[in-house]
Amino acid sequence: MNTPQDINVSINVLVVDDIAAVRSVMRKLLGTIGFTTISEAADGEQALQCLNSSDVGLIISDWNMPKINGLDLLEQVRADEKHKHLPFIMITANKSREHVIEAANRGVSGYISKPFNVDTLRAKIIEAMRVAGEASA
Amino acid sequence: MKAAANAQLGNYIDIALREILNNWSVSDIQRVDSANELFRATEPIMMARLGFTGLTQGAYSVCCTPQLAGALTNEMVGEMCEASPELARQTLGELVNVLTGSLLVACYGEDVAFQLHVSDTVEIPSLPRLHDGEVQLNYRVMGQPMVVMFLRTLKTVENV
Repeated sequence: MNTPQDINVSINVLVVDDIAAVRSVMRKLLGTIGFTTISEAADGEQALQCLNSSDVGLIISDWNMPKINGLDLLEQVRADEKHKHLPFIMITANKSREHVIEAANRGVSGYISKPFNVDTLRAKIIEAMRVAGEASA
Repeated sequence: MKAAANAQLGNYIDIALREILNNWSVSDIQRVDSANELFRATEPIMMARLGFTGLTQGAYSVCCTPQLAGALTNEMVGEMCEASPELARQTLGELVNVLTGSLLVACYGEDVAFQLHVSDTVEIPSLPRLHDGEVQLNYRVMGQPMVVMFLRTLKTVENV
């Protein structure tokens, strides 16, 4: 069982989802894990603005969104030298292997299929932080 | 043959729906024979629908009362926000989104890729009629009616 001590819960987590109810749920789950600083964006465009204006330590993004979807957001984040190794977790209802591979090819640090619970989220965050840490080392 | 396939799909729908709702802290889920008469004629039905294309095409839809959509939102997000009508619509859209993703994997496996369209939620005066090969499961969730449907063609959805 992982505890909050396994995760740096002082970082700012950016939650990107076009559905407000889902963002609220994510905020609740992240709070359960121990995170206290959580930013929200309703689409990729807002997420990029948030990234440029605040110090984000982890992005958790939905795949299907209007304007800039999660995959395009990931690509733009990775194209920025400053955020090249920023932990980025993609969440999607589409569980096909092709989707997982596509996200991995674009540099995602973790992938969560819906539905999921707080234990899955915690494990994926730990894994994503580890992957991102190794990539930047 | 078709009846067996529909029964199997019904089982998949039941398992997936319960898993999703349980994750949202909803455990009062009863399968019932018919939900049609549970919807009051004076009240609109909220229907979230999501089409998919790929190896095959179709759409899943979830129908319930606006009250249930609001109650699900409250269960999902807790006390953190008020379940406005828009938030309730979004919640139902999210339910059909997650349900569709789960069912496509259950039916076809992870190696078959599908394109999931963006869900939309509409208000309808009565439940859509089923056509040959389509599936309907009826529930009482938190004491309110809910219907999950598999519609064989996207056209069926557009015609609602």
